[in-house]
Amino acid sequence: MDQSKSRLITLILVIIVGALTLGPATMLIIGSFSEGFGAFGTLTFEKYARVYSDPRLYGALRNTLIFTFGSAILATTLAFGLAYLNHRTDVPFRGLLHLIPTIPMMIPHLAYGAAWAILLNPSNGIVNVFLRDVLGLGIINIYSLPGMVFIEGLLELPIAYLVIAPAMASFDATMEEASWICGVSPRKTMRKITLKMLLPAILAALTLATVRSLSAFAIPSVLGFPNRIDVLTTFVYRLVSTGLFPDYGRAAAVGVNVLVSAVILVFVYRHYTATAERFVTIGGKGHKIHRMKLGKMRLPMGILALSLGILLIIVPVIVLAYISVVPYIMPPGPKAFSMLTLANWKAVLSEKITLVAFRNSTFLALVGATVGILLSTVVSYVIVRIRNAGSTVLETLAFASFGFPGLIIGIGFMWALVRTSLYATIWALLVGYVATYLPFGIRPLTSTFIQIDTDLESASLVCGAGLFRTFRRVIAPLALPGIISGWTMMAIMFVQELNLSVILARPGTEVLSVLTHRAVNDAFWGRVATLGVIMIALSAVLLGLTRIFTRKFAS
Amino acid sequence: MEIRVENIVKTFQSSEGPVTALDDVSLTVPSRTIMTLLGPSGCGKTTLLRCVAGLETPDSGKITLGHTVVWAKKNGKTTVVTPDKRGLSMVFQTYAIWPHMTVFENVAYPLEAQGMSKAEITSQVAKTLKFVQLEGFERRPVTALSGGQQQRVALARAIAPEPQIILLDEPLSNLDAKLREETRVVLRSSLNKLGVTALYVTHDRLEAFALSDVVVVMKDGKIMQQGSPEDVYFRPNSRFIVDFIGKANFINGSVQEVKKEHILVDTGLGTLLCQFRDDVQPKQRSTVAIRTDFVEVVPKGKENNVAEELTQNLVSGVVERALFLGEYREVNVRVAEETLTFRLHPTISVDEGDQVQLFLNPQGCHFLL
Repeated sequence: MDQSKSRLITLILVIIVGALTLGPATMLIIGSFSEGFGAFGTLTFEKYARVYSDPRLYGALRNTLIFTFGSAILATTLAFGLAYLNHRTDVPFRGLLHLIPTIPMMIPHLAYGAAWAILLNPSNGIVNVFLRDVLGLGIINIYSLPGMVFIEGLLELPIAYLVIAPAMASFDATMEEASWICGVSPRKTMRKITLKMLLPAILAALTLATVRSLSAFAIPSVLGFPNRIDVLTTFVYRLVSTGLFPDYGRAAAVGVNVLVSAVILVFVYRHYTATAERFVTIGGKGHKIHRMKLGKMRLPMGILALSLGILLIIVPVIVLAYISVVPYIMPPGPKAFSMLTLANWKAVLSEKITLVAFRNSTFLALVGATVGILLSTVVSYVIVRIRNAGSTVLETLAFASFGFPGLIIGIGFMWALVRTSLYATIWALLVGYVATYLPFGIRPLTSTFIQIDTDLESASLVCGAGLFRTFRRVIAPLALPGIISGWTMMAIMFVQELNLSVILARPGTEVLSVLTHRAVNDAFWGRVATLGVIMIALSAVLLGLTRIFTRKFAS
Repeated sequence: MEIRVENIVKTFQSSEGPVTALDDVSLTVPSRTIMTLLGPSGCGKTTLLRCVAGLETPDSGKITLGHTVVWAKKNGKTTVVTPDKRGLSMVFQTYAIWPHMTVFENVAYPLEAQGMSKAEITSQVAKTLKFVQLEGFERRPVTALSGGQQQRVALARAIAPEPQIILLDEPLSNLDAKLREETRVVLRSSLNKLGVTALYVTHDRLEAFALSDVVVVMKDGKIMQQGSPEDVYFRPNSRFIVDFIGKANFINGSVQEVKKEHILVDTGLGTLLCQFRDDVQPKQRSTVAIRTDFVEVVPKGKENNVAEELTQNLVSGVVERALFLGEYREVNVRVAEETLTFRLHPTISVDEGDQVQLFLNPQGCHFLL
């Protein structure tokens, strides 16, 4: 590719990606210093002064710290345990255990939280009723900070696992053997060698889980709302959703700090990932992996690990499906089964707004994921293959926005779009989705392109094919599996998207998750369950379709 | 300190059923001896080393270090000393130096485990790093070292506690060829200087010859031959060994006569003087190995000057192919019904179609059973 052409393409991409990521972030900052929404007015610190003198903010801050770190630590601990069992012991059901962390992405966090509220809410939670009325014990109140930490921790487990497991799998067991030979016992070796060498990966997982729970809105919203346990995201949401005059200025003033914290954490994450990779490259392939013999503990540990899968996957799906066909929250039993009804489904499906939301969600998933993955493909290609200042900027932008909290960036988009014709249209959501989820397309595609040998492209160019033909005939087909899986992931994320949608959706542009959120706030559990099942089904259909397509393509 | 391995059996479970990695192996490494286990991959050499280290558990047999039985299984009674209590050192193929520690911390690690004082550790590490020529590298992170330096850190860590036994698992195989040759010489003199008992695993015969007092050649979990490098090289006992340590032509032959220093074997090339062995009978038929590098070209017109007792092994033929390979010249010579391959000194110039007379050194003719 000649210099000027590549420079031009890079420049165009820097402008697009810059507008999508830095744009809303900048508008958020400007907005926080503005007098009013819509007209910026003169520079003012009034919003900061007001919101930072609000004592409720400090309550929310304290809750956020506990919620964020608590769930991140829980997720990382569980992920470490699961990865250790899977990769380093002879635990049974290993094939099944490997699947556990991959499935929960099909379940929207909101629906997941709702399922637990149905089981463990203090008034009529199914499990609580059983504990109180049948066993005569106390109840477990899920509407509490520990409850929120527990559920969010389970939800962050998969992402933490995806960071820790590769490090565990590539761990060179001779590193431990060398320590034993030096006269150090296996137990001490675990502490001095194994844990220390895995520490960067563990810290990377911890940081990533922290970023994600810092941005989390679904769980604090479902489980924190009833007892007014605010974290920063729900605090910000409350500023713009309640009262006669939503205050986007104060929301922005709080949001700026959340955004900055998230971006800092993302760079901390990058630092640990780099260290973890350096630790792996020195090791190289070991003789073979030593699996610790669990002995008598083998079956119990296997069952314990499997139960994580049950908590993560089986419980929410069954609860939601069940609650969608009974008239109100009731324990399963003869009475419930005699009252099975499709009333919830009929009600939900007969409402016009459901069809609007379903159409919007499907549109955003299909079109949004297509636009998103096309942009990601081009950006990743430029990041991997064109090495100039522009591509470094692109890489940094893509990485920094990886930690952007959807709800906060949504506020930024409001400031950016309020005076444009995009405001309150489905396109506003589309732009927001693509911008916020771009890193989730760019990261996997970057590794796809790294794996495609440059010589394959050079060969095509030498054959006389131009740049465009080379891309179409050689690069795109080779990258296709990566592109398809990236598309599927984005489409599923878009079906479930809540954080941005809850800010950007206006009458007529509602999506399924926004309807579910409203139903949660109104405690219409039957509706929540029905919408949850619809979203899970839609995600499953998307996944199934791409699987079929991929298989056909492969054969 | 002596290493004694007795009747070790080890089987692995693979997807195609059990595989015997060690098939009733016994050997003794005398104190202060360097012994190499040499063989192709999968011959069981690394498994044997790991059994001695305690990293692999045999199915049966007995392993003794000095006077201590470290592993034994007899009549259902098992004696086990775990690797951390065996008091030996090991250098790993991948070095296994810890990336989260500096050079100093890596080398100090076994000393800390022994409970040495801080001051002692500091001086011992300094002494050891000087020995492996890594002075001044104490504070470096090991991730910043070259392959050769990492290898020396691994060696330093193994010798720092002044062990009596050191196990080395292909320690040079990750170095490039030139560095490997240099390191091999340094390693030999280091091990001799330290006066340790060393068990060394390699698949490289040059490395085995250069380093060891005793070479043990293994195949399929069995010991095929054991002896000094010269023993193994000059008196190979099987076709496998001949193939493994060099190149040879294999032809059929039958014993004509067993003499005092040689045996006479009838072959398609005529009667050949072969290396002596006392376990054969006249008329016995088997294979004769003619080593490719135990041959001389008899210069034209000097045919009659060859010492009389050596006239026996003269053959003549036509050069079918000659390749110049730098260190030697590889030629295929058609002799009677056979085409034989030989390696000639590069200065001896022959061309395709040349008629040559060759003297096959009896030292390089082995009657194999």
